[in-house]
Amino acid sequence: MTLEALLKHPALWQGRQRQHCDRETLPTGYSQLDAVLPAHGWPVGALTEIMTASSGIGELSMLMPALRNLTQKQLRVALIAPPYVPYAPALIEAGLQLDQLLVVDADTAAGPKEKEKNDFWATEQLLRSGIFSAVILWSGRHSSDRTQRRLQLAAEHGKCWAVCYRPEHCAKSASPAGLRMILGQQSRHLCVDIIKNRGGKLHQLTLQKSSASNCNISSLPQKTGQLRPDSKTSRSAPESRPDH
Amino acid sequence: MTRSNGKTLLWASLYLPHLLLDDTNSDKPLGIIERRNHRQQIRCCNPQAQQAGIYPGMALNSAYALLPDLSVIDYDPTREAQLLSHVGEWAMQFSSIVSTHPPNHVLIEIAGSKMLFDSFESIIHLIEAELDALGYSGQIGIAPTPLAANLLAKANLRIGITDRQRLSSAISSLPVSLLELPQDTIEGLRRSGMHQIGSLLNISPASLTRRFGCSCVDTIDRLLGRHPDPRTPMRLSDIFERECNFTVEIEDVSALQFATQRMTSELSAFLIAQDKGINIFQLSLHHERHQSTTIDIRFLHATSQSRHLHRVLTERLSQTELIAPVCGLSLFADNFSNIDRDAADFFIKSRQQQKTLGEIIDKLSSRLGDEALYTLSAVDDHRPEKAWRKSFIDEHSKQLPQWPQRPLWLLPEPQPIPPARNHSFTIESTAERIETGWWESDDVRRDYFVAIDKQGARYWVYKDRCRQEQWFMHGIFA
Repeated sequence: MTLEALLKHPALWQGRQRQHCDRETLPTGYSQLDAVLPAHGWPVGALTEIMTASSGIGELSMLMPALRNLTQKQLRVALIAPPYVPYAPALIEAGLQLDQLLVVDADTAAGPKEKEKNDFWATEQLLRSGIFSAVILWSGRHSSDRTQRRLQLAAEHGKCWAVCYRPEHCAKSASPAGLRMILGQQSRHLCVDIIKNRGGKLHQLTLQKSSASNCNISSLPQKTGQLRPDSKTSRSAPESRPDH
Repeated sequence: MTRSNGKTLLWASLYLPHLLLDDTNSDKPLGIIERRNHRQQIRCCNPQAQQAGIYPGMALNSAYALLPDLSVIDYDPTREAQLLSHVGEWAMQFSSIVSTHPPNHVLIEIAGSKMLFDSFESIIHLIEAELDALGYSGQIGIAPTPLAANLLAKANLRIGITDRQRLSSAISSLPVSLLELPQDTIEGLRRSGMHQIGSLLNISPASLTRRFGCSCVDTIDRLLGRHPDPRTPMRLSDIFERECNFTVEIEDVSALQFATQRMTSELSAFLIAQDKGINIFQLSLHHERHQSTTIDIRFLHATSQSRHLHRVLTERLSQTELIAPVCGLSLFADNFSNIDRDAADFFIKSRQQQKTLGEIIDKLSSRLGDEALYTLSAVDDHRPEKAWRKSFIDEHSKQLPQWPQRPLWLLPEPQPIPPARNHSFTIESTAERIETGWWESDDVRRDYFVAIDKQGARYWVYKDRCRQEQWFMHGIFA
């Protein structure tokens, strides 16, 4: 093996200057985020872990610019075990080509543990196949260091962008993922706390919602008021949110 | 021997001496017995039995004395002929002219296939590798006449003779016992001191006929190509059917692997020979006292790849719970379709993508169930829960006009918001009124809002105007 070939080997870490210069990049759609990521975009061939305390803060719309890019280039994307129905009209609004999107949602009859085992298996298969450009998994309680390592290796093998959503408490345990971030909300903006960034530095940043994003607050007519339309109903609040 | 267009034929003969033994795939000592000279004797036996000292021709009693737990099966010429014709059908992937030569030879004409496979060496390597994968042990011989090819295969010389002039010198040192002659003729030749074929070739045909009958001269003439030896090519049937019975009942699905591997390899060869693909076939598991279990095995794209066929079948089998031990297996296919080869197919990259997409989808759905995989499409309906549907993979849907702002997550069912739970909850959009569906039973009269909770999470909520203005949560802006 020549030195040239050796230097191109993806498993060889070379410091910041040369790293990722040969790799294709997958821009996140947010210039601030691209600037701090060593690949200048989402890491292809590695696992990205996203941890959130709750749904509804824009944790999925954050991925939409990249997913729109991929599907419009006729590259395939898979969603595995989404916690709710991925809503087709909203996905179209975000610019996705739906025929490039595969949803894998196995039956829950086998019990949650068995289901999650199947979800991990399906994710690994799709990652390894090399025909999906992005594979996104919503994992539950049974994700572990071992499952994440397998996903990371599968992503490397298939040169695929793997994303795994995990519960927030998983941030405390170590993980072999290439990129890990905790998402939060601060004055209506998405806060990204990068807790692991292979080949780059750790950062905390607030994303300004760009026009690419699905949840475009600024363009909405702002009408702030209590959720109390008239005297007939009292103030209401959501029932306990489904765990995510 | 020449074809009508003047091209020389070249035969590859597959010699398959242990068809029945290979069929059972037993790892215990096993012998096949036949009745000869008023006694039961071993016709052939597997290596495990040979290690114990058992040899073909041994009396059954002596064999039992050596090895009391030897298992035996009766020699079944019909089953042997059936297996031979299966190998013949399998060999039609290599050539359009294939003929069986009972009891143990399959003849494949390879002169016509040389162009396709580059060289004779590559054909032979391919045939040997595929035969091995099929689970049969065999020897191969190549010669311009069928009988000479059979002879070379039986002698296992591993030489190929393409020129008829060199034939007689090449075979002259081989023993006469390899010739396809009646047993007493061979015995007679040996008694006359003719042990090698060469000595037979030197004697004039007239004296040979006088001593040993005309069959001897006829065989030699056909062997050397002096007389024509036409063969009828096999034709493929319209259906594919394979059956396999086990000597012992099988309780573990993984033990069926050997039989299914052979069946799918044969199915794949059958499809390649017909230039067809398959979308569905049936596998039946036979039980002693129960009705058979039949499993439909489906494929997204028509395929003929043995690896793919077997992988999907194995995955489906491992999901199947056996209701009783399995005593036999059968595979049936009668619905073949053309393999989709559109223009893009010729660009290698896209063809591989298409192929592997079908493979991976089949693999996943065989474990997770057919309903677990789908794509999404939008539906032109104002009721939010009806504005999407699951669609099949590869189904192309048209993109519809856009809606006002919609959440990425839709709850499977709208969730009532109890008035008692009193979080502060802010509305941050104007109402979107949806009133539709009155012509169906599920009439919708709702005012939708985007609401934001204390933590900053955004929800899609609505007020139901039919039900005393109850609030519901319907989506999450994830």
